Amino acid sequence: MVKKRRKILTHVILILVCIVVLFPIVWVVSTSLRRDNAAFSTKMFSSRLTFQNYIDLLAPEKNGPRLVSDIDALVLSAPPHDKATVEEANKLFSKDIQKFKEYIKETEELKMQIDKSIQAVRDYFEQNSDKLVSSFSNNLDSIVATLNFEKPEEYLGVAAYELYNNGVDLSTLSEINDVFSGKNDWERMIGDKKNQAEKLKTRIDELTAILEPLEKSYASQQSQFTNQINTIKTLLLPQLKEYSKVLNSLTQILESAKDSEAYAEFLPDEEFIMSKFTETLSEIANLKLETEKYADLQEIDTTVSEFQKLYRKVLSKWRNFSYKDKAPYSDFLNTVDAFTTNVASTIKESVLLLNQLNSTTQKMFELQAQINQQSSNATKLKSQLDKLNNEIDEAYEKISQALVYLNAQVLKDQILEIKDRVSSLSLPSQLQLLNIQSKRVFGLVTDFAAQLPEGSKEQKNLRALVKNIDWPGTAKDMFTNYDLFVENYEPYISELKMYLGEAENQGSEFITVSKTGIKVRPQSLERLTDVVLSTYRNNVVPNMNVMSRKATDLSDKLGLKDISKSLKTIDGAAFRIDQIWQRKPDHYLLRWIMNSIIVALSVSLITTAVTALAAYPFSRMRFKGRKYGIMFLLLIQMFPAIMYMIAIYTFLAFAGKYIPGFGLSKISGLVFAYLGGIAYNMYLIKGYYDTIPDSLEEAALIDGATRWQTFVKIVLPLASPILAVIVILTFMSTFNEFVLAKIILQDVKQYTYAVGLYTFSTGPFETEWGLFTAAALIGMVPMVVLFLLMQKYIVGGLVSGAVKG
Amino acid sequence: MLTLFTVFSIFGGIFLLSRGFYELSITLFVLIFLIDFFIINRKAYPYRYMIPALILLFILVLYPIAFTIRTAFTNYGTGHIMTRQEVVERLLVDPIYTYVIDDGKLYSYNIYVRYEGTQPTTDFKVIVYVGNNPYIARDYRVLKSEAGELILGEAELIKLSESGLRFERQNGRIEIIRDGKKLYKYFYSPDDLSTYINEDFFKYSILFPTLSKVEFTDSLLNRYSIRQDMEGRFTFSQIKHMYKLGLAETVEKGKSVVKTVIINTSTNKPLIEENGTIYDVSESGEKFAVAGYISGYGFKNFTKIFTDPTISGPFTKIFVWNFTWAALSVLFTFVIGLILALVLNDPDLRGKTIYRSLLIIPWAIPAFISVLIWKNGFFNETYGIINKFIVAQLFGGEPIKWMNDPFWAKVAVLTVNTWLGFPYMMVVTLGALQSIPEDYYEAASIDGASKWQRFWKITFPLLMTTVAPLLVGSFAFNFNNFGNIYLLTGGGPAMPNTTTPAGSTDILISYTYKLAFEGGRGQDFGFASAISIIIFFIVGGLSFINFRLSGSFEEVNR
Repeated sequence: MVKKRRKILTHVILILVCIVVLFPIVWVVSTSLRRDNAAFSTKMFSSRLTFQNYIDLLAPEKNGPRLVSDIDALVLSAPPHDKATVEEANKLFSKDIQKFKEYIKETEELKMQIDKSIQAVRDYFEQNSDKLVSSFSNNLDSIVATLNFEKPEEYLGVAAYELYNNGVDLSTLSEINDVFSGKNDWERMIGDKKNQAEKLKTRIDELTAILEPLEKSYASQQSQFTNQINTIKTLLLPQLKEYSKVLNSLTQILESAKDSEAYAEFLPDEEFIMSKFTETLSEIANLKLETEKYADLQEIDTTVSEFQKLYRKVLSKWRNFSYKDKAPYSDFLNTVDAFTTNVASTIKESVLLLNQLNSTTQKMFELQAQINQQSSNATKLKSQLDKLNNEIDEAYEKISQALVYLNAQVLKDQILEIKDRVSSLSLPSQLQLLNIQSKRVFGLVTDFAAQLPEGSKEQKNLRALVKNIDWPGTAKDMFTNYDLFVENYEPYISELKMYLGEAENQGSEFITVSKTGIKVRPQSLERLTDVVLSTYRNNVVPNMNVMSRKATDLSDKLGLKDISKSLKTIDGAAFRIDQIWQRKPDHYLLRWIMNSIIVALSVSLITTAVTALAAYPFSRMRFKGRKYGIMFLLLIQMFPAIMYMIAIYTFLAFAGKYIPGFGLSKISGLVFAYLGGIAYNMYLIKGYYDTIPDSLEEAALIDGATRWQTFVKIVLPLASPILAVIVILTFMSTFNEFVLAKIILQDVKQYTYAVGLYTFSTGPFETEWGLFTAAALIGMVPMVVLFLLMQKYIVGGLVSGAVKG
Repeated sequence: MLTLFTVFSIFGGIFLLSRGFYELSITLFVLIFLIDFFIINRKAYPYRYMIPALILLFILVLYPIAFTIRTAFTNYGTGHIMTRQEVVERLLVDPIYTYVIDDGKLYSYNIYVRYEGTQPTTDFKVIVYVGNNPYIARDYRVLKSEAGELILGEAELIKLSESGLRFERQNGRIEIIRDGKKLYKYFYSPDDLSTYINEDFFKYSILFPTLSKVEFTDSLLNRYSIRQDMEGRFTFSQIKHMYKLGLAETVEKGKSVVKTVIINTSTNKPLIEENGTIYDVSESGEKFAVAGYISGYGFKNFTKIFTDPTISGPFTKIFVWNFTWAALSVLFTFVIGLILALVLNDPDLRGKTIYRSLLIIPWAIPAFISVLIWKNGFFNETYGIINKFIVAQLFGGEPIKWMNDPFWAKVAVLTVNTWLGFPYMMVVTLGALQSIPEDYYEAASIDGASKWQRFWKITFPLLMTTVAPLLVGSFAFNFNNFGNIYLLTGGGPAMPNTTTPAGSTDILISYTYKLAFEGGRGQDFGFASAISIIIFFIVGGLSFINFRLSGSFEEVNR
């Protein structure tokens, strides 16, 4: 029993996995069959299906616009008809005209179908006016039925006053005699608090208004502070370092004075210099006191204190110096004199800067204090406000049931009133009135539903009930757009007929003329082209498409079997008219597939032939290089194939100039580029040759056959199965190749299927999912079938080496 | 026969050599030598079978490799496309490097064309009026052409009266010119509105293919040509070449050497060549680049991977992601494939073949189709059904930036790659599982091993011996899985702060491709080649290990 259950579970899981894995395929199939534009649709799947995408890709109809341009080419003797003789051109011309007339006829028939169907729908509306209106009323009834909420015992008065405050008219409600009865409670629960909250808000706003400029000026002080710190650093640090060096040198000079033999002739005023020097030391101490204050200036501080130490060292040395008569001592004094002046000025500058910094900091502190005070006030107020808001929310929470109840009562009355108004309407003449009421119902109910707890049963029910209630609007839109469509359609089709008639009469004359080289496009043809291409698109399409869409919507919304057929006909006929007259881009899918097949077939045949030949000696003969030959090949093909392309690209570009029909953007060039991948096939074929017994060939050799003969007559026929497999596998891999083809092929008509499909997924086609998926499916199905058929070999080829080992 | 072939091919080789295709011509010479050797030498009989394969191999594999290796040491790329010789030639010849002298003189010209029946042909004559004197251009001589296409021609202008051609005037205008039996009729003149209908033919059949490439010289050796002026009209004007060849003496290694240099004709200063770029010096002494040519670059393409911070940063990221990508792809596909294989390996399970066939389909669909479907239908940020239906409707979340957020782009490529790759792993492991003998399990169950133990102690080790080489192979394959990355994200979103087109999901191979073939920021073949050599060593090494692992060497050497 357990085992069985587990088995079912396994199946369920496997089926789920299959669904997830194959979902993209399902999506591709369904999207390729859709009539609407899937990329812009809000539905993942659609029920409006068509094979049009496939028709457009595989057998595009020579529809209106295409016919016009064909006629134009015939009359002007332009390509593709420039080579046709006058007779041929005339024949083709009359054929085209004939086809054109058929299209006009078909369009008129379709138009008639639309007329009839619209009439049918109108008739149905007229005959079943009461039924439709009563179904609408029934719908309203069921809404009213859903609105039955339990009458809460508490807070009814408060809720009533709240609603009254918001401008809701409660006079119709029987429960509420006096809306002011709940006023006091309301004031206590909500009103007072709201007032308080309002006051708080204004105060907070005031505070923010004060805070803002403060914060701004704080920020500016802040940036000033950083600037000043930086200035001091960049000014003082390097100088101090320089001065330290000088101090070191000074010590050196003093030292050297000891040993000097020269005596000074004149000594500068030693005492004065010393006093200046000592004075400066005290200034340095002052500076240090300033820099100590700032953590940001720690670097300077340490440098200053080191400098100070050095300075003291020099001073003490100087004081104890006894060789004061030596010449270097005089140098020392001179240096010290100059040095002290420099240091003193630097220190002075720095102190000045530091003073500025001090004042900035001072300001910042003051500002900060103000900001702190104000913002703490603001925070307090805000927390009060939050509390108040919470209380208000709680109050609303308490009365919410009552509110909902009252609202439901009001809504009920409103809907009943609407029902009253609607009941006397007669369709279709008063469709617009019904539409207005349905919109009102929709708005009222949706607003009410938004007040209900999210996801509740009532909410869902109500939303479902009004989802389709706007069908009168849809019907009205359909009818209006139909009228507009007819208005534009009539001149369109009559102009079409008129110009076509004229073009038909003039055509053969102009064909004769244009063959002599005088190419004139008759006015009628010009106008015809204009009408087909632009009048249709600008005047006819917009209303027709809206009409067709609304018809489908209406069919979905009403769900009435009697008219859904007519509505479907409208949609279908409009779609067909659009197919006839819509200007469509040309697709080259068939050509691409042909190109792919040509390329893949040539490549597979050539490489198989070449490899079958080359693999033979590896299997049967002894020669140098046999041992590592294939391995070498396999390894060398690990070189990224894309990088071959720089060389092959330049080679093809070059060769294309000299060899006609070859080179870049030519299929032949692509085939050539593909021929490089032979190593793996060689490896496979060699493996198969190895399994063919030698004895057969040996017997033949004894009978006098040459090696070549044994190869052609014995080995090749025996190996034919593997060769066939390799042809197919190479065919598949070449067909599926994209990158090299993308690089080499530049002309849209030379594209292979892979490159072509890529263009379907980019640029203007990015959202044309119908065409893209259809094209993808067309290429995909044969490849999948081939793969499944060849499965054994593909899997075997990949695994055999490993499993055997 | 063989001699004929050899001679013909040698001519081809010399021709290639003269065009600057050194690698290709060397390849061709080696090939000719080998083929001749194989056919003449009886001992080399086995090789004869390989001749066609060798031809393909040499041209399509060995030559490109040689080319790539050489390119890796050059600056070949945008701005450095041509060889020095070609660049010099262009500077001297190309109409781009000429300028019109504005001497205020206007020359009007008339075109005469020979007719065949009622159709004009491209056989034409030009008459130019200097003042009122008609001059006729002689037939042009080809100075330079490539593959039958005219690049530069030259024609002399002589007085019509001295040309010996007969002509007929009507109303003062020359209507017909006779050259022997050939008859040229008045066809087009830019000043004559009545010939306006012939303008298209003149432009597209005479001017653009031929006439615009011909320069005219008068008896004073002034040069003229038809150039488009500011207003778009084609006028006959006097022109001058910007550059000419000249000789200059330079001192090299202590000796004075006379070299040919290119000289600017207006400043008379020679152009300067540095690092494969030719610079001109303007009158004010400013240096500006004129053209570049391919030149040696040493190891710079390799060293700049490490030294240039705008390259090394993205390169390291790409390198790391490349390994992560390959490893995660293998891991995900293998884990999913293994689980499915274990489920499907149950002998009592019904409908096994159906499940297997269904699950194999992602592998059967050509990968580029699936990737395009995923990209377009599923991961499109605005329309894609994942964002539209799953993210927005099911979870009510913000649309995910599949193509613009590095993390989500990576998630997208890995998702698709897992979807594409797990069937292969499933099939492979299924095959390997079936080759594990039943007895082991029986013995184990007799010894009382649990299911879990049986899996870890028997199934998994035995599985790994057969599957490990395939995992390495799969790693190598994914390492270079260009198509998936390129088609899905194009390597994007682009990385900031880099001078190369690097993207967050780029792997080395797609990065290389973008460097070489997507000219957004200029192509850099040299650098691309250098990276592809690195890739070769990584993947080649992996494959070598794999051959060792799977014992393929022994198999071939049998």
